[in-house]
Amino acid sequence: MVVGVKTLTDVCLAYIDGVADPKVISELKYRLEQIRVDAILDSGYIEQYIEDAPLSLFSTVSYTEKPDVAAARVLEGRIAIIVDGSPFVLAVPMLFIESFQAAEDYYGRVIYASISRFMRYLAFLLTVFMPSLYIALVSFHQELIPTTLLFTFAAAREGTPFPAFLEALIMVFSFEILREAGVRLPRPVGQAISIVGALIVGDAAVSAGIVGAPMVITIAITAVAGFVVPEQADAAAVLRLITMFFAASLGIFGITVIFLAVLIHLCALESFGVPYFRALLPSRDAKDTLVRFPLWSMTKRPLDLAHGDITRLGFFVPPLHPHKKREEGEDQQ
Amino acid sequence: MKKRMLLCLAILVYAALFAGCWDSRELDTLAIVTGIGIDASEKAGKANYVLQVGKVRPIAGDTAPEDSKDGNAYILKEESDSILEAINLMQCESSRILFLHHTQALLFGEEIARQGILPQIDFFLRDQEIRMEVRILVIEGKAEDVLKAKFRQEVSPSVAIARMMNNNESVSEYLETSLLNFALRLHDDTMAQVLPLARLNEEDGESWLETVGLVVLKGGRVVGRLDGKLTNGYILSRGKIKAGSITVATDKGRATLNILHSDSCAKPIVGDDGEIVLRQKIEATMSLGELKGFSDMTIDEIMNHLRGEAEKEMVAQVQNCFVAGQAMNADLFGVGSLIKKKMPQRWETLKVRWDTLYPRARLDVEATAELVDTGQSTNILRKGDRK
Repeated sequence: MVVGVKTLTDVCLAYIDGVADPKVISELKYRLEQIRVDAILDSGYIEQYIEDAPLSLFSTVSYTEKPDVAAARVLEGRIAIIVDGSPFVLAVPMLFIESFQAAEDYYGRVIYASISRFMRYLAFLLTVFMPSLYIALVSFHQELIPTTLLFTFAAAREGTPFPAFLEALIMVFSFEILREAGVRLPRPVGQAISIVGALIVGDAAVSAGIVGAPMVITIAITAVAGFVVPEQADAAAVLRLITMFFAASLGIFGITVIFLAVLIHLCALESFGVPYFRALLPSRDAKDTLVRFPLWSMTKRPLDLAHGDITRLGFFVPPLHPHKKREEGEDQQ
Repeated sequence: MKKRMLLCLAILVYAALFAGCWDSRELDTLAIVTGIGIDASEKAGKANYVLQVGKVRPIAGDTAPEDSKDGNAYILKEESDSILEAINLMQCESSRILFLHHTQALLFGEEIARQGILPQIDFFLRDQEIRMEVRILVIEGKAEDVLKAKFRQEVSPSVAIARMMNNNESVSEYLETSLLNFALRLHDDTMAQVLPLARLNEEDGESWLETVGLVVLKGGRVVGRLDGKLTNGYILSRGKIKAGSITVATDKGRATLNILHSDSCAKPIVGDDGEIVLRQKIEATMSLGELKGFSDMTIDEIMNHLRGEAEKEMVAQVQNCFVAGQAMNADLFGVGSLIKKKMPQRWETLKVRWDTLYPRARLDVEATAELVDTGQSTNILRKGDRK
């Protein structure tokens, strides 16, 4: 398929016939045919023309640079969109949990993979809510802080000139600037930027009494946690600012309001007819959400994604006690 | 649809803006109260109220003063009719909002405790800023001195008190003196309440607090105190001990036994003439903590010997405590409540004469001790005993 009147960019759809949903295929083809622009320079252009909720904070089209990830998505019944000249392969429909599933989860052993999967959810929540929780606690709900910790916080707040919200805003924005500068520059220079920016400025800001040390810690953890789930990093950055604003004006209540609003939005969101939260519903897909079950227990492809040939794996007994079983088998013979 | 979305968004934003950060208090506008003390005043109907406020030292910048010797808290003091009035007066003297949520301890001077603590405690039960876990303590002398004192280890005296009380509670839940517990026990008909009694010791400019026993309250007034041994008897009679020890001294030697756990049950018996006997059974499991002497006995003999002696000692301690309670005419063991629970009709007739009946009541204690463990060593130290 060729999209773009001037650039004539080759766009290729990759899917497994008999596994991908025919309705999604025809819908995708229809949406692609609707695009009558003169230029498609990257797969990101395509993403913006075909996504379900262009104004949502959350993307409904997933992307990857890794061939194995793209292949895995196709095998789950998704359709990959490969755009000429772009290293990013898009895939639809996208589910929310996809951002939290890393390729390494499936290559590593089960228990550690489950822990790191869980850590990713935690990191996402931290990066969105940690600054706002800190603001809410120190400016509204001091009674919720343990006494000794309260004195530590109070000591750090003593003598700093700005209210907690402003302090957090300064830190968040300076971090965003640092990150942006680091991304644009060549790698060796980028490292120098982060050292000067983060270490020197951060330390000087604390010792000059402009920003409190707990706030620096909070924002630093927030920033690092933001890198754990790169696919949702942009959504997290915006959400973080919104929750901070509400935490500063309404406290924990404001955070709750925003949390519920986002939750309602996410529940209503769909990607090519598949609910965004599909796998989080209690179903057999739950084996691959908060934790990852062993590969041999995931015998079926995800619900609502795969149609037709949904069996990944026939009945399989893992070799739990190989010697015993083999001996018993010999006896029977 | 779009209009509705916009409306929702507008309402959300306006909700945030119009609320105008109500109730927002920056940390540096708060005076964090850590302890409250109440002392008797010379003027009738008034009391001295003392608030201990934690001092916050800026760690930001190099402005931090090095003189940490002048204590970590300052004192606000006011003589007033009620605590709320006193707090309002103190608020006028303070540049920061008095923040009561983190109050760790509520201290009563001995004198005001004798006058009655119930009128003082109402505010604490009513105000939402005060936690129900606040520890209540009676201080030998004045509560103010404790709040002013500089403690050996703990940064803030009130934190020190809260930690001490925590340790006490690990011995028996009957030593727990949170505001909630105290308020709950106030509802009991005859049973006397107890509160821990502490004394401030001072040496070379360093202070520490020592719990010296319990005070016994009747109707919210202190009527007497129990020293260490009587306190031991009291918690033995209450049962549910989680830790503790009992010392047995005989002519053969001296031993300390650790109480691993103990339980007790009591049954009141009322005679026709109004004679009251409380039958109490105490079962304790103990282990050998320390031995001195007993050099001519084998370990089995010692264990048997100690078991009997421990039982005797337990009976004596509980008996002494009961007698002490009777001397104060304070129903420490809750005999009245037990009678009310077991025989409500009988209680109605006894109730009116209770104050004369109770001092004549008898206690019948039966204690069984079980020595289950000799500790890490199975032998006793003796010369030339190597096999």
